[in-house]
Amino acid sequence: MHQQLLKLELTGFRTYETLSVPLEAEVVFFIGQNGAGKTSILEAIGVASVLRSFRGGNDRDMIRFGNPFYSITVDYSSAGKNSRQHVAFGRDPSLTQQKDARRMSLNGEKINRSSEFIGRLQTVFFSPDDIAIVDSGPAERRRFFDILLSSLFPGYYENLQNYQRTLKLRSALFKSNSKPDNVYLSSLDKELAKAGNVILGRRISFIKKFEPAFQKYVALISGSRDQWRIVYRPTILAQDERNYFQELEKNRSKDLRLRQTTCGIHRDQIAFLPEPAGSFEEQNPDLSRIASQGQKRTAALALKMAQYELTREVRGERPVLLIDDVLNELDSTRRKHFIHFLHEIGQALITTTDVDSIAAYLAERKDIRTLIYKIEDNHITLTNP
Amino acid sequence: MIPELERVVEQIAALPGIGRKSATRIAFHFLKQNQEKVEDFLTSVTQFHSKVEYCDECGALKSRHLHCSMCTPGQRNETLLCVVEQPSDIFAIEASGEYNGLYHVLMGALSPLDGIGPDDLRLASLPARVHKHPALQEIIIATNPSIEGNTTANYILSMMAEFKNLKFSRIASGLALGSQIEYADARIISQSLRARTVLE
Ligand SMILES: Nc1ncnc2c1ncn2[C@@H]1O[C@H](COP(=O)(O)OP(=O)(O)OP(=O)(O)O)[C@@H](O)[C@H]1O
Ligand SMILES: [Mg+2]
Ligand SMILES: [Zn+2]
Repeated sequence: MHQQLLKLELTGFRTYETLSVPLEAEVVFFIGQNGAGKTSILEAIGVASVLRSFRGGNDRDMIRFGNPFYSITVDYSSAGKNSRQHVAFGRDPSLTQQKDARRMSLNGEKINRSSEFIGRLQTVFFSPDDIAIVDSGPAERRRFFDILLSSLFPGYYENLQNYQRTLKLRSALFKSNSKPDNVYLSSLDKELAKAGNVILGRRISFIKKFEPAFQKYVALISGSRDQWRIVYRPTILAQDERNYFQELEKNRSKDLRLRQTTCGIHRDQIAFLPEPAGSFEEQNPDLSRIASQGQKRTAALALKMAQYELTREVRGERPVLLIDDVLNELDSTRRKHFIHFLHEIGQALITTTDVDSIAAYLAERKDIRTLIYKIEDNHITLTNP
Repeated sequence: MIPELERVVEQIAALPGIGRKSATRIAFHFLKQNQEKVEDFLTSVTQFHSKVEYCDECGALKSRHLHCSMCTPGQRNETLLCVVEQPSDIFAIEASGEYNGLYHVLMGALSPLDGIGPDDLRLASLPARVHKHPALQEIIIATNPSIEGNTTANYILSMMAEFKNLKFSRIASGLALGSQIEYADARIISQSLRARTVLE
């Protein structure tokens, strides 16, 4: 079973004034020059899935210049049922209200909480920028897993929001008051522990399951030459909420001195370390410090392939793949393995600047339905042979 | 806009939940009414303002010259006391018909972003109230289901730790996090009161 996009409709999104694209096929190609609007299409589908831009852009940036709002409507089938998901952001010209706001609905019914929206449509986004997940700081790695866990596990997103909110309150307390009331701080920390403990537990148990899938794909793409472990390094190691709270208490004097929350899931690290492990700390440098450009690319690709596999496992359904410019970026061996991987999947949307890079793939896949769209001057045309 | 209109629109728009557009509509509505009706309206607002106050005891809204109906002996179930953030929360809970106990209004919640600490709330008088009502068995903490509301609930639990014989409970979060009791409908309030959880 797999999720399948049927149709995408946009208004005022990025370069598109309006757009309506049927997507009923196993593989859908978008071919166009740089700046034509290919990534924007995948980005919109991503927003309909996790309410965030894969590019890290904010909602305002995605509104077409001069438009009061953007709107995205996605029709898709999941578990044999058709659904329609809609999200809009900006000023609603039909209302008097002047502030930017998000509106969501599912099959025409209004949804108020983001947590009820996220995680219905499952997508995996592949991009050359994925290398940043392995190549930049710990925040990018946490972000990758947090978005994934939010879409896979109901409740995770809400806990994350609660945690971030509590963290904000805690730092406001530090700022406004150099010696805050201990009972006040404890009362706040109980909320921090409640959310932090859930997030910590989820991250640790999920990464344990994620690691073997990741390793499998690294081995596949690198011809078994690369091997990495994923190690979660908590700044607070706790068995339960009470325990988490006690650890916060131990750090309190330090936190008060530095006026910030020095420990907790917002500071944890996710390390990619060489396998087999060396016996000394200095023999275990992180991937970001030692891997070659190609090895990093392999690891990034494997992360996303593992995301695909785990999503299928947890949700019992294959997610939709959104593949942005990736084919052009890969050398011939990696491209071969990646294309092979695409044979097993459900639906994929693939962007590229030139038809040549996909010619080989198309020749191999005469068995499936494909749609090939050309994007030019904000116009999209079907060019199936 | 002529200055007289501008001034009244500005005043009305300063009310909570009312934008300039609605304010303009309300202003024109006043204009269409006769003098007497407008004066009635204004008198009721002035009287409301001068003849109403908060009860020293529980914090509920009461008429200045009358006893607080929430504190009148023999009228309420004195085994229960419900702690709320705002006097308006009392109306919402009363409307549910689920509760007939005492109240204690905090006049807010602990909120570091707004600089509201324990001393800014009606927390200090809470132990005294418990002593005053020997029949009291349970304190229901009905602060809003927000991080601030939860933090306030945690604070109350800690500061009241000496009352070993009292049961402390928290209204169930059938209310979405971040929602406000004041605006919740009666059915949801009575559900969350009935499904309240005991705090340890
Ligand atoms: N808010 C916006 N309003 C209008 N146009 C925008 C907005 N945001 C981005 N654009 C423009 O939309 C165009 C499409 O961008 P997009 O990233 O989708 O192109 P692309 O086809 O993926 O290009 P590339 O091949 O270079 O990756 C760009 O020209 C960009 O400048
Ligand atoms: Mg692009
Ligand atoms: Zn009273």
